[in-house]
This record gives sequence, structure tokens and C-alpha cells, in this order.
Amino acid sequence: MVKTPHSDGVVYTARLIRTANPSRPTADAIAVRDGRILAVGNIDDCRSWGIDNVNTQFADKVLVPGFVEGHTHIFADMFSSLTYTGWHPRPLANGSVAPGVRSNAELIARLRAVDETLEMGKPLVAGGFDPIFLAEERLTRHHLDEVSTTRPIFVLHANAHLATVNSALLNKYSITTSSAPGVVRDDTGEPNGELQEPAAMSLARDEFRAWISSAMSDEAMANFGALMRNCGITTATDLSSQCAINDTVFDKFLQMTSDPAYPVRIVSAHHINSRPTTGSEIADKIRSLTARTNDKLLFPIVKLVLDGSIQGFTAMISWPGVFDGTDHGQFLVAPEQVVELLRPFHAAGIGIHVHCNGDLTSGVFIDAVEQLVREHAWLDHRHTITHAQMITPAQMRKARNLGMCANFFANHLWFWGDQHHDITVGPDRAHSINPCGSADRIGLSYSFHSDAPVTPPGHLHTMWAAVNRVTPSGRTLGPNERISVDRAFHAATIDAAYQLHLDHLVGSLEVGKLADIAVLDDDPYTVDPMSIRDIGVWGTMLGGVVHRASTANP
Amino acid sequence: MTHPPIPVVVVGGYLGAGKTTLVNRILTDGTERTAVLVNDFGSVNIDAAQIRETNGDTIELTNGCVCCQIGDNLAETLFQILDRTIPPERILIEASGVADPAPIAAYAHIPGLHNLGTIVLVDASRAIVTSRDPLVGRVFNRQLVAADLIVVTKSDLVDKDTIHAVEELIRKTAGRTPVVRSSEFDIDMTLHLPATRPSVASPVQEDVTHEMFSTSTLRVGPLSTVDELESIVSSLPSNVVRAKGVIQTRDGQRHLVQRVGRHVSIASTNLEPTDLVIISIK
Repeated sequence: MVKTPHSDGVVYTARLIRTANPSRPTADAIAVRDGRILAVGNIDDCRSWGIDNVNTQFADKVLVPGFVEGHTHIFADMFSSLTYTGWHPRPLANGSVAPGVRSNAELIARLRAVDETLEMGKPLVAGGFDPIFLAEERLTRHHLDEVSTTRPIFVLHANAHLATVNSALLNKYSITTSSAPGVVRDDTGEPNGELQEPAAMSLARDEFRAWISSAMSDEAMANFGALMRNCGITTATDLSSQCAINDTVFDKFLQMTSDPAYPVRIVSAHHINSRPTTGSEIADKIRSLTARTNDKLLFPIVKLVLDGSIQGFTAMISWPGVFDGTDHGQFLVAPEQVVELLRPFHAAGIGIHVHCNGDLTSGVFIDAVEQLVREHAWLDHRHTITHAQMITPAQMRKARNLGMCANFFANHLWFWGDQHHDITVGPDRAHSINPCGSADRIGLSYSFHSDAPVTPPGHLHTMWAAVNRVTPSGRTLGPNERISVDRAFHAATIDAAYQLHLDHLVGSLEVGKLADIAVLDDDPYTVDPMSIRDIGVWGTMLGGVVHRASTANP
Repeated sequence: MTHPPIPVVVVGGYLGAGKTTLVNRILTDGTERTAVLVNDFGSVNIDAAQIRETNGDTIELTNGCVCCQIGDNLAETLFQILDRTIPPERILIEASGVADPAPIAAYAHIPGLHNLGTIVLVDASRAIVTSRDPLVGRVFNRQLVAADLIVVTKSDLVDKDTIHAVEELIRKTAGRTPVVRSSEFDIDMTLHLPATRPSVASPVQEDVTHEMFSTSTLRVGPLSTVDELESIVSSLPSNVVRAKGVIQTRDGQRHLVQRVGRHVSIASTNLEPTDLVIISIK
């Protein structure tokens, strides 16, 4: 073989390579040079570029494009620093899995173990607790008093709208005498330890702050990368980044991502709600950051939040409304202001992702994009309805015509599917929640997300949820909205990259693109569809640099 | 906590109802050191000459007022205000145009604060249309329900029939919550209502200088308990838009009692006892 001046590079062989490029969907070798993909095909094709270095460490692995996650938060790994007390097992950045808490007794035992390790007087703050899954007496301060009568204990629930605290904490802040709404009382008129909504939770000032600050620490930022790498994600979005409004934060992210050991590209999305009137300045700022940043900190999109959540009854849902419960639907910005808020970003050529859980908000956003496209003929905007959980077929047709995308919250089908069926929206609409099948039939481009830390990150899980649509009780929620593994695979890779305006760089294994690869133990296409989420992730490659997933499991 | 609890007023109302106008006025000619919390500085219009210092999410004014941008965490903004070396004499939180003010007012129970009540502004020229809007109608109605006092603004822009229709709409949604018109009612002066009025000989005294409102003073006492005090102030007629006084109970404790619309709040105080000053709609 003739060596060329560019003979450096590595050819990786694999049991199978799935490219997410229908032009060449599978291969058995891939050549990497200068962090980019030089060739995809068989080993001879790859070596023909003059490369002698053939690496066989992945010979029994399945290589796929690094997964692209369009909706997470930088504090996705918050349960590494807060004691985890949720029902579902929770993977952590160090590779261990915090086991699920399946009863009040298990909760007490978990907290007792932590109590013994904490210094005197330091509050114990736990999170992720979800009594929806526990078929027993609701947690009160009396249970937590069994852990400690002296140390304040604050157990944040999974929905982040409730906390249960012990008597020591109630006494610390004299909550016993507070007339604040949200302080739940028992039959005798004494607080039972449950604090509902952030206002009541903030009565416990130090513990409330501890929760917020644990979410925003340097450690949390570093762990974000590890957590994403562990599930094969190579590009992850931080939705509500401060980079565009705080230079110190930008410098910190730039420094962190410039380290070759940092294993993930971050799409940093400014949160329009936080600075609504300065859109054009921020759009300018984002363009200037794009010129100053590296290839692991990217600014292709911004984000706006329009409503609340379905399970929190704060989504804006049209007639016939909430199934069983009180509608607390709320717009976070007025519908009539949406065009004005989005205009500077659309005009500057920045993609816009808008959080719409209810169908009313999806409609408001779609109408706003129609107006924006009339004003500024940018046809390649790919503006994305994120969550889009209740989007209707009519809305999908219009969104398709306008060149929009959806980013479905597929994990909801598993994590809250039964609650949507029985409580929030009722059986009928629960069947069409996160309607990937309809989106395929209509031709609306879509992706999935985990919204971590709301659910654990991992596209093998979102794919599994969208392909099977099963719930913990064993229902198949909307069989006609199930999709093929092939569609799910594209949604988790190239179609996710498309809606982030990054499909020329990542999301598929094609010549010239960045060498971002997920290394899997098995092939999602050929395993039992119900086992897709159980496929092991060996690690990733990011721009040609190999990153091993942590395996700290005891 | 060495300071007396800081009274908190929440001002809500749909877009265009006049919240920003009110905020700007309170900031620039405020008679008390007020902290005004807004969602976004963008709409606040402060003369550069009046700005002493701008620091991130806080603008300090030369008159002692301060304007804070809330960001994502109202609790944290309030904690920082409580931690100031010189805390403000009152806090006004401007709810966003589509916000339900009720969950915001709940934050006024954080230790060190006390909830004075929620005032909701209603734009007379837009109220009927907004209340029927398929998207925001229920948001608008929920704002009315959350109000302790409703102020109808821009009533000079509409005819009499419209005003009556708006007041009827409010009555249907918000029941007996007192309703006043901004053209006849100075919210800022009302919030600032001094409680240091000297006691007078007669138990009830009327001041008849205003066309729409009567101001009266009521000698309260001697009372045994705070509950008794609360029940008396709560049972004042529903046309009371404002009441304030420092009342002493038999145990010698003094209580600053306030009423904004239908909301009664009581906090301990060291101030000298006074009569109860009451402003009612005639």
C-alpha cells in the first residue's frame, strides 16, 4: 500500500457499524483522521487512504453515531450530590446506579444511612421522591422524625413542586405557626410536614437553597459530561444556559469544554424568558460568541418556555381540558407577545425551540412561526416544538408545511404513561400523547429527549419508549403511535442533529463529519425491541478521542 | 431577624392594565423606601439621574428605592432583599401579565416578610374582550379571583355602559372583592397610608373631603387576643378598600393591622398604638 503524506489516522473495525446515513446504512470499518470521519465502509476501503493503524478494540461492538440530545439541563446529574429517593433506579455520573426507593421504610433506611455520614447540624436534603408509585400511607414528618429529631430533613419530590420535611425543620423555621398557603396540616391542625409549591418550600430557606445550588455547582457541570457519555450521547443541549448573558459563565463553559477529556459537545441555548426585552442584543451576543467559541460549545438555538407540565396540571390544554384534577394551566408569556419575543432570533438566523406541553401552546407557537416566516423569509429555520406532547394532527400538518420540527418527550410514555391515562388527560388523549407514528405519517421531522434531570438521559431508553409505548402497569399506550426501530434510531441521531442545525457536523457517520460515535454492546435493530433500553454502552468517541463510560457499579 | 416583617404587595393584571405605569411612579416618587420586583428591567423607565448604582439584577435609586429583576427564582430575590443591610420598608412584586398572582403572593409568607394583599389592575377598555379570549380568558379570570382589591384603569377611555359591563363581569368572577377606579383612587398613596394618626376623642370620625371615598377612624380596643382583632377587621364592610392601625392587646403586645381590599394581615410591631384608619367606597 502506498503511504501518502497524510497517512496518520486510525481505522476502527467493528462487529457492525450503523451510520444513520441511508445511502450507506451499514459498514464494518470506519477511518478517523484529525477528529473527522475519513471513510466508512469495509476495511480495505478505509485503509486505501494509506492508513496502517487498524484498531480492533471495538471488533465485537456495534458503532453508531453519537446520540444527539436536544433537551437536557446542565444540572442533569443533580442526584450525585443530593440523596436520591425516587422510585425508578437512577444512573449517576460515576457509573453507579442509585437504587429505587420502593416504600416509606426503604426511604427511612436510605436517609438513616446518610444521616450517619453527615456532620452535626448539617441539613439532609434528598430528592426525586415520588409517592405516586407507593401504595401506602402518604409520607409525613412522623416518618422522617424516625430518621432524626434533631437534624433538619428536606425530601424534595420528583415533580419539584412538593417537599416533605421533618419536625426539626418545621421548628427551625417556626413553620408550625406560619399561615402560608401550601403548608399542609393534619386533622389536629398541625403541619404534617408537606410543603406544596416553591413558595411554601422556600420557607425552609437553607435547604431550598441547598437544592438549587447543588444543581448549579462546578461539580454538576463536570458530571453532566460524564453522565451523557455513559449513555452514548456526544452532543447534549443545555436548555436555559446563562452563557449569552454572563461572560463569567461563558468563560467557565469554554474552559471546561476545551479540555480534550471533557466528553460531550454542549449546545448552549439561551432562555428567552429570562431576558424578554433584550432579544436583539442577545441575538447579537450569540453571534459574537459563535465567533469566539470552540467546537464543543455551540450556540445554534435559543429556547422559550410557553406553559407548564401535564402532570403538574399547568400545561395549556384545550377543550375538554384536564381529565381528573384541577386545571392550573398557565402561559409563561402572553400569546400576543410571542412573535415579538421570537422575532430578533428568527431575523438573526438562530433556531428557536419552544417548550409547549399542552396543545394550546403548540398552536400559539406554530401561528407565531407562520407570522415570522411572512416577515423574514428564512425557510431553513427548523424551529422546534419541544415536548409537543399533545400536538394535534392538524397542528402537525401546519408545522410540517412551515418547515418546523418536533422534539417529543418519549420518556413520558414510560415514566408517567399510566398517570396520563388515569388522571391527567384520560384514556383517549393518553393514546396519542407524544404521537411519533402520526408525525411519521404526516411527515413532520422529529426527535426525542429526556429533559434530564426530569427523566434520566439516554437515547436507548427514549427509543425503547417510542418503539414499544409500554407503561409500568403493562399497557401499550396508543399502538398506532409506535414507530419502527429504524425511525427511532434516526430520531435519536441525525434528525436530532437536524433540528439543532448541526446535521452537517454530527448525527450520522459520513465522510467529512466529526468522528462522534457511540460504542454499543449490541445492535438496537436486532435485539428484542423490549430489550433496546438494556443494551450496554461501552463508551463514546468524540472528535476521534475515545471516552470510556464509567463502570463504578458495586 | 431584628427588623419588623416587611410588608409585601403583589400587583397583578393582564398586559396593558397599567402595572408598569404604577411601578414607574412608585419607584420615582415613592415616599417610602420600596423594593420593586419586576420580571424584566426592559419595561421600567427610570431617569438616569435617579440611578445611584446598577449591579446585575439590581438598580439602586437615589431616593432609596431599589428595583430588582426576578430572574428564575423569586425566593432567591426575596432572600437577597432580606439580607440587605438596610432592608426596604415595603416590597412590591409585579406579576407578569399572564401570571396568576396567587402563587406569587404565597412567597410573602417567607419569614421576615408579611403579606399585605394582592391588587389586580383591570384595563376597562380591554377587559370584556380579554375575558372571552379562547387562549387567555381563563388566565384573566383567575387574576380577578386572586385579587384582594381590584382597580379598574383607563375608565376615562370608555363609556358608562362599558364601565358597568366591566364591573358586572368582575362581580360575577370575583364576588365581593372591592372594586375601585384608578381615576379616583391613588394606589400609591393608599399603600403608603400613615398609621400614625393621633387618637381622637370620639370613637368614629369621618373625613368627607373626597367624592368617591370616605376616610374614617375607628377606636379599637381594648381587645384580649389577636384573633379578636382579626375578626373585627375582617368583619368591616366589604366596601373597605384600605385600613391600617397599630392596636394593643391586653397583654401589652402591639400589632400592626392592615387591610387591603378583603385581605387582613397582622404583624407584631413596636410602633405607638393608633386608631384604625379606614378608607371605604362611599
